[in-house]
Amino acid sequence: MAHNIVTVLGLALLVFGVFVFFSAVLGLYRFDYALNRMHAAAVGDALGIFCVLMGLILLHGWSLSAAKTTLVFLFLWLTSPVASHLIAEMEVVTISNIKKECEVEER
Amino acid sequence: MEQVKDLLLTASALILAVLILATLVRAVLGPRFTDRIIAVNVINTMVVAEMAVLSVGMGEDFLVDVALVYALLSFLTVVVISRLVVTRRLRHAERECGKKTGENAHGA
Amino acid sequence: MFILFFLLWLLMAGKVTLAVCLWGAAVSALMCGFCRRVMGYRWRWNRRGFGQLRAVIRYLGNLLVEMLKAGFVVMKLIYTRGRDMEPKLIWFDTTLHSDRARATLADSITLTAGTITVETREGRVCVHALDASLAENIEKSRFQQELERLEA
Repeated sequence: MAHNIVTVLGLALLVFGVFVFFSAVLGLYRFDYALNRMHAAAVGDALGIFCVLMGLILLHGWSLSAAKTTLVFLFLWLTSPVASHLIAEMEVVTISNIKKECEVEER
Repeated sequence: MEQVKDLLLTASALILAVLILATLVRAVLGPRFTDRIIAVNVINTMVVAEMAVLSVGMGEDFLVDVALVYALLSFLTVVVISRLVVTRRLRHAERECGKKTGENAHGA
Repeated sequence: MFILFFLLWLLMAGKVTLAVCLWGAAVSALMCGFCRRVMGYRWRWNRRGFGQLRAVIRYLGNLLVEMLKAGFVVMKLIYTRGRDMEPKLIWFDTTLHSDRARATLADSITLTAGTITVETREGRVCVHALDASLAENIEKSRFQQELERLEA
């Protein structure tokens, strides 16, 4: 019984994660500027990978593969902010006129 | 139960593959090179998810190791490309600046 | 740090035998020495370590909740708003002093979808927000308050 509940929960998380990835790709098509597209990509990186890998850990059960999947998940969560920060810095450095795309505010 | 599980795993693997193809189209379409790099980053994330899904669906444990190595390599790619672009751009700007001040000195 | 490397080795090996443990201990010691000597990492255990552990765990739980909420908000924006966003680039000051706390703040800001740290330079942080509503009170967010408490 408990096994069935865990399997159903894992499958639900997996399907929801695939849906999150779908909306991230939809966001990549619907937004019109690179820095806005990065936010859609960040949704896929954070929420999508969280849901998919949590569902897969539940499906694996208590085994070595589940531990390795946790390692992949931790690694992706540590590196994805760094990667998106580097891409954003590159975009801001290379673009010629940032004020045309979005307003700049100093506080 | 097992049939439903297999069906859902296969379906999600197929949907992820279609999404990867759609993101590849976005990478070809993207007007600037940063759009392409963002699309490639999303593709890398989805490939890792796809490998993890396949490792459950096919019952192969080693695919998780492959996913780990793939995640390491994709992070390394983004870091190398962005460092390369930023340092080259900064050097270029410095050279332009130097040329301008040189011209001014010459004109004066 | 030695224990972390050793656990990683065991996880990658997948079985616990005498040979695996001995090789793992040797390689972990080597990696530990390399990290200290060449890369200059120091893993200090101070007396407040255990008291701070609870605060760190609470911070991580807080980060998880905020990340999930922000993900849902941005997904709703993708479906409802589409192209008419008001993206914004904000420079603001942090009150944090140590490099580690600043890096953690920038990482947390980037991990919550909708806001991305573009640059940090000597206490000034540049943040790009997808919509103006997401960036209203970013300079006094919960992350910063908790990190201040951790730093003190």
